[in-house]
Amino acid sequence: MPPRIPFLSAFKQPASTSFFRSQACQFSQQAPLQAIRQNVPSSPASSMLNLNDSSSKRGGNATEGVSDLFENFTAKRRTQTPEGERRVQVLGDLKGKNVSEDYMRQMPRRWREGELYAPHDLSEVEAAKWRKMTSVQRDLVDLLGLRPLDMYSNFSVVSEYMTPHGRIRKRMQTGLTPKNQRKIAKMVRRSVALGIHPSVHRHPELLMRSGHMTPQQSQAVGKWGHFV
Amino acid sequence: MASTQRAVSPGAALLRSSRLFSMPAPIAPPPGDMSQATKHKSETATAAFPTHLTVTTPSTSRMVGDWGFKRPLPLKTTTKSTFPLVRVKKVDSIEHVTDFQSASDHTITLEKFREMNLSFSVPAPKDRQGNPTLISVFEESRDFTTPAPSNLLATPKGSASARAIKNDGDPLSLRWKFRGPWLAGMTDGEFDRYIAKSVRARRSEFRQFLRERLAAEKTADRNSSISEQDASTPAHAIPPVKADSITEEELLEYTRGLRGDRHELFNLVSRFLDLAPVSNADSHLAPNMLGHMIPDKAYDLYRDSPYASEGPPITHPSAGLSYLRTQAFMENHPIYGPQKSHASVKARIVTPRFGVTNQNPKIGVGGFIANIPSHETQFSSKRRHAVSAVGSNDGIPGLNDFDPSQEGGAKVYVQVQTANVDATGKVQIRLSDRDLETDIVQKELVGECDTFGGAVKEAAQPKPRSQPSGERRYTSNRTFGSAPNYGLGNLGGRDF
Amino acid sequence: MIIREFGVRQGRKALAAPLRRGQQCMRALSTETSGTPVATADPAVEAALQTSPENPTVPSLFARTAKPTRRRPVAPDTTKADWETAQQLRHNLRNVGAQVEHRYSPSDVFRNPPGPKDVTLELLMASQAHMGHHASVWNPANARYIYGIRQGIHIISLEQTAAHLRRAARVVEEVAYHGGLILFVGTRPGQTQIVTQAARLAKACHLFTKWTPGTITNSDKILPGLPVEIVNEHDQPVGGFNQHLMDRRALVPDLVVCLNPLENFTMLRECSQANVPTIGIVDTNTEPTWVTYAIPANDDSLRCLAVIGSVLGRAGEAGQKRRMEDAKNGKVTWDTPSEIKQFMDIQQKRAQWTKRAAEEEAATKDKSGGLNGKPSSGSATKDSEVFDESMQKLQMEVDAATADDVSPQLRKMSRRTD
Repeated sequence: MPPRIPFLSAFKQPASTSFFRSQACQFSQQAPLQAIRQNVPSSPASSMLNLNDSSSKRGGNATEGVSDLFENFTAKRRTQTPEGERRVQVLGDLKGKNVSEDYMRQMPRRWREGELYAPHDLSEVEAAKWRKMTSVQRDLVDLLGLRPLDMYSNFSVVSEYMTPHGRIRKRMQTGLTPKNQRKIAKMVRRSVALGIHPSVHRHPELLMRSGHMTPQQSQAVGKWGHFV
Repeated sequence: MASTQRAVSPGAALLRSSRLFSMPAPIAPPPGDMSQATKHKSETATAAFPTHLTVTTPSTSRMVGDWGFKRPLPLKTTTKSTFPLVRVKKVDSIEHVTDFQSASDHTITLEKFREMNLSFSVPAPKDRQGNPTLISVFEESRDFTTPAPSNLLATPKGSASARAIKNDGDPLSLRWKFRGPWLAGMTDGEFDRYIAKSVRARRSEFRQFLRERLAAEKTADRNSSISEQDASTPAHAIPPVKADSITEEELLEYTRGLRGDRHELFNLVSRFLDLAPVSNADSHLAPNMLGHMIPDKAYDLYRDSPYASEGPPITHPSAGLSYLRTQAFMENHPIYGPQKSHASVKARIVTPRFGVTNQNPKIGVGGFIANIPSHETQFSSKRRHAVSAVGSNDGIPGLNDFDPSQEGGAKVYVQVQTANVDATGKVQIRLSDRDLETDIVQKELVGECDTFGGAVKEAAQPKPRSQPSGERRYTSNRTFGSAPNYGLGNLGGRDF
Repeated sequence: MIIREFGVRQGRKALAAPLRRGQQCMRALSTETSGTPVATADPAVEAALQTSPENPTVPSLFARTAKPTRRRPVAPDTTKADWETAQQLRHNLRNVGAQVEHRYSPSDVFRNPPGPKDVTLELLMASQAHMGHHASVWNPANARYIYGIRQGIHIISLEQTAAHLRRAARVVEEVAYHGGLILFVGTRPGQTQIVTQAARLAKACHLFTKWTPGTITNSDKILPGLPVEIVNEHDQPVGGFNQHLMDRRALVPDLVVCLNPLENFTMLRECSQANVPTIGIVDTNTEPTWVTYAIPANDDSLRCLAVIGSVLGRAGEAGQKRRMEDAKNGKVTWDTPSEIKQFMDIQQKRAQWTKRAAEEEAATKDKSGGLNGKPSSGSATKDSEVFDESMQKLQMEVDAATADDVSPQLRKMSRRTD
């Protein structure tokens, strides 16, 4: 991922000098420059982190930033002022959220309205079953009653089971039973062999419709921005 | 009748009246279960509704494993469970074991549901306020399955009966049971199978149905033209057009006309196959329908069927869970007197709001998963943590985040409004907004809160040593559980 | 019952929680008041609340949750008196109300075992005798016992079960009447009590552990030198057979009752080789020709096995009783076995020879003039007389048991004629 350049935030700021300051101190580890960096909302992530930082509101010079930094390190200051209380609360909220998400990741069952639960369904044993991957008993092809071998000419279906580079998607991604995966794979191969569908990318019509023409990093971009 | 009853031997008569023989065959499992198509599932999870009979046994027999089946059930599992309830899937298998499992999940759920005193109502469209008009499923106008045979037959357009139906709403669509399927709930595969198995074989029957329909229409047209031309001739004096007199050409012409009129064709087909009504009042469907309509032609839309949007239930719409007709009764409290609302139900927050899935929280009411009310309620507060939960309305602890420090899981008192059964047999319980006063009264009844006792103690304290107001819990003007709040007037002139 | 329970219930409640301020409490609970007993205009209650701060009035509904502000004076403990009064009340109300009929208890079959006369279709059905196996594992030879299929299992006709059970009971009774040795075998877990009870009733043997293969066909190796006793028709032990017991072979039962033929095929095979009749409970998956007398019934339900076992045990008990009565009247219902008869013949002949030799010796001594032989010959004569008396009616019982405690125990009565 390329480094994010905070262009927009720089131009939105009334004091245009902050942009250059932030660029100058971007990689410095010295305390004064760090303090300067804290003044500048360089990216959305850092602006969220500095939400409750009192120093960001003052927007003073580097000395003030250093002093604020020291003040921030004192727990007394943090807890006694209203800003400090808010900060502690938000930190506690974030921590609680992390804990909650960790626990909920262990209980991945998505309950739907009208389902029943007994004490056993909330138990550890049952939660482990929902975490584990099992083989599918019935898949989309069965449920919808499709006949994949008859659908080789339907290039939207064929493209659905292909990667952007034209490879057949594996069973892990399609979520099909082995039997139907073989049928689907045969459908794709048949379609490619008949020349109905390209073999190295999805159908051009679908690519045109999708509108996602932005090139990925690994893809070469042609002269006019088209794929090569 | 005597010919139908065969004389049986005494042992056979005894066997026929035995309990083993009176065990009903298991019903089909919940339909439309897509969980089989996912990788993450559990075979042992509680099903949406019970399919097998629950069996119990006296404690003396249970101690020796005697449940009345072929062999004693293993003592290790059956004697340790709290509730002696099992469901037997196979009395004997080729492996020489009795296939059974505990049935306390569904049985205790039923018990808990009965304790809630809920009544089942016909699903009604939810308005913005979340206050639907509740009609019991046991009302005579709703609780019927078989229409009169004349109703099922083709009613000619413009006839008096058709007009009456249009004015009053089609009583046929208020049924809860239909012979045909609900097309909107079928997958493509199911639909193909249905066409191949049930529909394709009935072609000639449908043509005969169309003939009769055409004959009825022709009769109506002729009668109306006669009455317009000559009012003195009564219409019924002329014999009606017979279905046999319709020629093939006429029928072909009629069929061609129907193909251009999709709406009329759908009505005829659904009448013929007795399909469950499909909602055509949907916003994205209605313009299409209107495009196919012909001006000056009467259409009877299945608009007023309560099951059109969600599908008819696969059971009776009460699912046998409750036989109450209404909840319009008042509960009485031994001290506070009659109560404005029903007792709150202690519910479990099964999934908080900000989980991994980031979906709405799920509330477990008496074993049933329910959604929070859709409109703006106290459940809608998105604040992550209740900072001042005590006495404040916003912030239900555990609703937004899972809190592992809470012993036994997060609970909340909820007000249960109504319940109905959906097309897959699941019970949907609708909650209404919380009522804090009712919650406190209920908490006091079950011993979780000490409002009245605390007030008595406080009153018993000597006057000069009265406590500062900060320590009294419910001293504001908005007093919970006081006489004025329950409509008893300011009797004592003192609140507590 | 309802009236009695009501009395006991009310009495207990009244005795358990004596109300101090009855009037006020009742008033707090009644609906006539305002519903807020504290916020009251009643001067009496007001005064009570004002004047007794150290003893606050808490209604009984909240007595559990409310905590007293100060310690109350300790009330005298009346638990014992209350309990006695409640017992007295219960005693007095004993005869009031309906009688609850005793219907069924799992231990009934052991406390009061049913006999052949108690076999009814209802009893068999209640004890699950009609439940066969899964329909796909059936043995077609049992088709004549099967009534139909229900819940995926074969249903055994109750009439067939009852008829075959009565016939088997008759067999057991006659074998017991004729002094036969009966063996009850049930080797599945849980059948111990059933076979021991049946054996106790029928004065028979039992086996609840594995049948040692060869116990009948190879008994010289399996059961050598086990204690055996010879009894007469009154089942009293008879002496003088020590020499015979030293070298006789182990006993073979005269009837074997098997509760689970499937697991005991070896034993049934040995029995058929030794011409021992067998009675077996035949479920729908069992081959009925393995046993001589089949009882088509459910062989998995312990309740059914207990009923069948107790019926057969009662039948054996009746047979034994008849035999003992006939023995008192001087009628012996069995024959002495040939080997014992042979042994006794030999013994008699040997005694005669001894006697003759003694007489000859005495004669020669008389001729020689010796006087010392008299007492010895006299004692020999006496011994032989005692032996002859005991030989008049003799029954032999042999206890052949293996050295292991849990191995099968056989007990046999052999016969002789008068």
